[in-house]
Amino acid sequence: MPLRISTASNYQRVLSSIRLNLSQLVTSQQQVSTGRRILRPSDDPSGTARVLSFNRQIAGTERFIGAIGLGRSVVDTGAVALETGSGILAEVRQNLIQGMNGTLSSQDREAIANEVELLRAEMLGTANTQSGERSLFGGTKAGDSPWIEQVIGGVSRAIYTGNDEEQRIRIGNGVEIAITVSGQDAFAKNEGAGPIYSGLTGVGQGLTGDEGQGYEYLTVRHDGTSSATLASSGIALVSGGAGDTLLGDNTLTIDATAGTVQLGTGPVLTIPAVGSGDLADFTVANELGGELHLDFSAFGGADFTGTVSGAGSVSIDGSSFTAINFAEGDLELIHPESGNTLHFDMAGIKRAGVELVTFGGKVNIFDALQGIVDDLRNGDNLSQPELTDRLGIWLTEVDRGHNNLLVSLGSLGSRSERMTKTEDKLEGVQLQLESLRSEEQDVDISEAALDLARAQQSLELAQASGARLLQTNLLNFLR
Amino acid sequence: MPGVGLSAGLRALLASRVGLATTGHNITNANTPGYSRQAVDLSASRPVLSSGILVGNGVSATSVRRTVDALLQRRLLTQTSVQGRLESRFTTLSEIEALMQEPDGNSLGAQLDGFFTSVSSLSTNSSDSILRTGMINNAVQLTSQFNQLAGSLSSIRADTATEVAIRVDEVNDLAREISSLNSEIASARAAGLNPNDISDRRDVAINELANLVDIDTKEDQTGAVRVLVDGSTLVSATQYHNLTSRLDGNDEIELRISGAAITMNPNGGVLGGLVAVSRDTIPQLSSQLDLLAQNIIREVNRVHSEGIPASGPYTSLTGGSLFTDTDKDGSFRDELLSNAGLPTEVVSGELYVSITDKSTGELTKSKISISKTHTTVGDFLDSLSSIPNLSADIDGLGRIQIVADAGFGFDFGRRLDPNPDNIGSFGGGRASLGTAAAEPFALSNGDTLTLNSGATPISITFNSADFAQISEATAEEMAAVINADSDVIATGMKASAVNGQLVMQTLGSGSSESFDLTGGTSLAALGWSALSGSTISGHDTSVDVSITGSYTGKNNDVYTFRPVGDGTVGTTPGLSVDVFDSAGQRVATLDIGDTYVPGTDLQVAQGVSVSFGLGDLSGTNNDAMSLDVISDADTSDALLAVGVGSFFTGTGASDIAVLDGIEADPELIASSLSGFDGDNQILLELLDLENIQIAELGSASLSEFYGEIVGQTGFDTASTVDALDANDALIQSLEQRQEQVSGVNVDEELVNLLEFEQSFQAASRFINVLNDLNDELLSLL
Repeated sequence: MPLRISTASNYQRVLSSIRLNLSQLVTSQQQVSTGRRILRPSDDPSGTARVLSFNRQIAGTERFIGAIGLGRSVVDTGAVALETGSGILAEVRQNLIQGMNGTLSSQDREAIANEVELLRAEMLGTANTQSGERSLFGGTKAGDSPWIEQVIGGVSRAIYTGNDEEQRIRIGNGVEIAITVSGQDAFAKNEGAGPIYSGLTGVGQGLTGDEGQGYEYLTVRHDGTSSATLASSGIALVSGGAGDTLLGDNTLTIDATAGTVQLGTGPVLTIPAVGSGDLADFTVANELGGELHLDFSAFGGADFTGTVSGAGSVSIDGSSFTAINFAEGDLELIHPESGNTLHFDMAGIKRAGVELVTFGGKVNIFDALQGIVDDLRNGDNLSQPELTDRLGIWLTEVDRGHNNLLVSLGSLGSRSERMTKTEDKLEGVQLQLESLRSEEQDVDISEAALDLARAQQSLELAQASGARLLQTNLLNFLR
Repeated sequence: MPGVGLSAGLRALLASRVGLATTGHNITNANTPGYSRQAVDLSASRPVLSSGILVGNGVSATSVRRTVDALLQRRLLTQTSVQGRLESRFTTLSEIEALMQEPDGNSLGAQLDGFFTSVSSLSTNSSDSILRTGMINNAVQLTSQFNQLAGSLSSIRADTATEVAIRVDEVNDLAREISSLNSEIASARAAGLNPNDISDRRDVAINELANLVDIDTKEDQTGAVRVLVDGSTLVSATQYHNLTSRLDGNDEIELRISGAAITMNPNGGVLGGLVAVSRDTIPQLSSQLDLLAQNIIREVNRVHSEGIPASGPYTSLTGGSLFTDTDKDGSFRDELLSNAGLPTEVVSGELYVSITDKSTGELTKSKISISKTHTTVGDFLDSLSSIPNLSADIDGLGRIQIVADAGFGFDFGRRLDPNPDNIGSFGGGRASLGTAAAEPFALSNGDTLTLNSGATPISITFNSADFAQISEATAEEMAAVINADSDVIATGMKASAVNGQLVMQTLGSGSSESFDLTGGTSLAALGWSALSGSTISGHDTSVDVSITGSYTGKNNDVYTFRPVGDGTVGTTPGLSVDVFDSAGQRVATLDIGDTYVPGTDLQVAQGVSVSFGLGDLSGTNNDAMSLDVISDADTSDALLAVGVGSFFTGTGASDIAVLDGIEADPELIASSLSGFDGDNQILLELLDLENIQIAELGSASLSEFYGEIVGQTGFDTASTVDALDANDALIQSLEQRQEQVSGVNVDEELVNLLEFEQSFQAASRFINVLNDLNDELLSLL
């Protein structure tokens, strides 16, 4: 028996097939117009879960890319500052080498000293570079200028108030990169060795270790000259030895046959002839240049060998002096202001003068520059070779400082490069994630368009066939 | 005989008219919902005895009946209930789904991303005030998104309750209608009538009722239908009961038949769906959101509370949590900290407190021990207040308040103490003698210790009364006894307990300070026998110790530094320092002999470095210092519980918020671990929170858990849609089958119409023939 189809269900069927096709058409249209396959989680719950996970990963990647962008500007600003610093130091080096030239007049040196002084100020400015409100070379103390100037013991010194930490950012899950170098590393890397003596006075390193940084001037003063046996030769001290600079016990040897005089192992000199201008004030010097003024006016003309001793005192701050005990092998001197502690061996002291003691590897570049300025101005009245020696010490420190600055610059450069590479990689990942998300979330447009056309067609078919079906009625034929 | 024929003809006319009327009725009701096709039952009339034979007496319409399939109707009723439940569930779920604004909108997930992104931005320049404000803004957006979601969920729940009330009214209307139709049908039946259309109306009402709530129906002999909901009678043969709804104490919907004691739990129908959504779906989602919020609060606060704001250590802090007077005796202080109504758990552990002297920058670390089973709120406050320059109390609202003295600041950071040798027992200027071993010391009652301080002989006697257990004397107890001695006080000496060791010192510093250890019966217990008779002297130069770096170890520990040998740093060949952890294992040996340049950093272990300045150390005199290395400054979680140093406050999604103080002053974001403004360690650790697996979230990360919530809602909605589609199809097929049985086909009825018309015409012709016959007969007369 054929099915009974009721008239109402006929209408119902036509209606529901039109409805179904219409809703498919609307869905297709919505997908095409928004480009989205998933418009709400229930459209595809597991797909939504994946889309959400992609969303998080994309946000994370974007976050890292953002952090890299912000961080790299800091790294690059730092690198530019260090490049500037490197240029300054190259200029300082040039000036320094020029200053070591023995033919310069003191005015010329003063001009160079002024130039270096300006360069030092410029260097300090570079070390205090800020990006935004943040100091780039203060470690994690970012708010204040890390390098401040203080006059300690009459010398202008730069003090580091930052710390040794680096500011770090995160550029991946569990991946950190530092975006700054500490001012300590860039401008004052601590490569502590023992102290270095300029060797002017013959003072040596004591037994006990030393502690401190930067440099100190040890002032060795000549207080008096004494010789018990000299009188027998007829030679006298000039002004009681007031103008001498020799210290410690020195052997004075006069060879009457050769007509020469020698102090210690210093240069052998010809005894001045009677009537010559320097007869009453003839200067002999020992191996370190400690000078002894002798009056040969009453010279007896016999050979002489005797000891001439210079007494003196030392001071680390230039104001409080300690008499030298030449037997002292471990004299402790503490600078009252800088706190630097040094131990000296007094046995080798042979002349008065100002001894430069640098804490090798612990001098910040600004202090080195200040030392250069001071020495170019030659406040210690050094002879040209002595001055050249001293500037040589500074040259070593400047070169060391320059090297460290370049190492810091190099590490900033490689960080910038690494950040760029990471950024490239992250952008690649980002693209990949976005395409994966799109695959999950977005409609395939060609497919969707096809679906739309198909839905439209089936709706039209449903409408057409429905219209035909509903027209068919027995009443049409009953008359 | 002709009479027989006429009456048969008449009956045929009448039967045809009934047929015509019924067909007309069918045609006119072809589109009436719930209408069942009616059919006329025709049967041959009783034959009459005529001339000894039974003669047929025509046709009669015996009844007009509905064509219905009762089984099919019952199936439909069940599916209608299912449909009602699914529809109401879908409505609510899609509303909730829309709230989530996923996957494209301004969703909670996007806000969570935004928060972490703002933390990341701030971490690139932690002192930037604009970025700080940015982090606060993002955090506020995140919290308000939480609040909004929680609020919308509870208003959906409230709307559900309102809708239930409306639906209950509808149920009651239908029950009344069914009940009155019942009476009509019963009385018609009693009169022997077939009330087809009334039955149809009742079926429609029952179907509508089934859409609202799942029902059982039973028809009795009178034709009345009993309707049962969840086993309770809603409509009986003669009367109906009212259904009532109300909210119980837990804001849950409660349905019961008016006057009945038991509540009903309908599973199906719109009501069943609404009740289920309100009772399970929404609370479940709310509690998951709460869980997410709680974990964000807890994890962020845990990290944040160990940080230090950009503006430096705190000078005062008020907790974000309220204490509860659990035993209601009017005081908070006697409650156990772990049972004081705090939002998170307090366990046994330690809390490190750092006090910073703002003028000198000097840092002092103190450790508070907290026991889950013993520490009361009062104990906790007292422990905090016993730390020099710090005081703690409870404010008027019942929150903890911690205040530092003027010129001091406090924090709960884990940064290293740059100079841990506070009393100078490690190459300090004071004459100092320590014990080699840590407590306990096996003293006996009456043991003595004799010293010469300058020319003054000192004799100290240790009595049992001064010790909890003299055979296990602690350094603390011994120091108390020694420091009480008048000669010790008079000659400027002092005993201290350092990490369990007893240290005897002069108060003054310098090489002129000294004392002699002359003897006593306690020397053996203290390990000082070999030193008896020796002179201990101070130093002009004290060793400057400087600790740098940050501890990377996993557990809190104490590093103890002890020199090996006697001598001067950087001078004496072979001089070294051994570093031990709290288990007594040596973690490092540091060479500080003649090749060491004083002031140079040396690696100790786990990221900790140390440098020693010039000065003398004595292994013989047991010089020692200890350094707390901390990986978690609050293993007790007490800070978290009392809400000190919090970033977020609140107990769940509905009340999560950024701490007022921080919202008002972004400088208070504790971004720094070391206290330096450019240190972003805390921010970096906050960033890590995005990916850590959290046990409370089923070992999912925050965003994974959020994804699960959204996924679950989406899945619930999708499965409801699927079920709805399947049920739709089922209902459609059932309805089609019902239509096959009960539906009106107009064509068919038209055929019936013709059929009855023709039989009417035939009957008329028959009467006409009979009439002609009669006329024929009559004409014969």
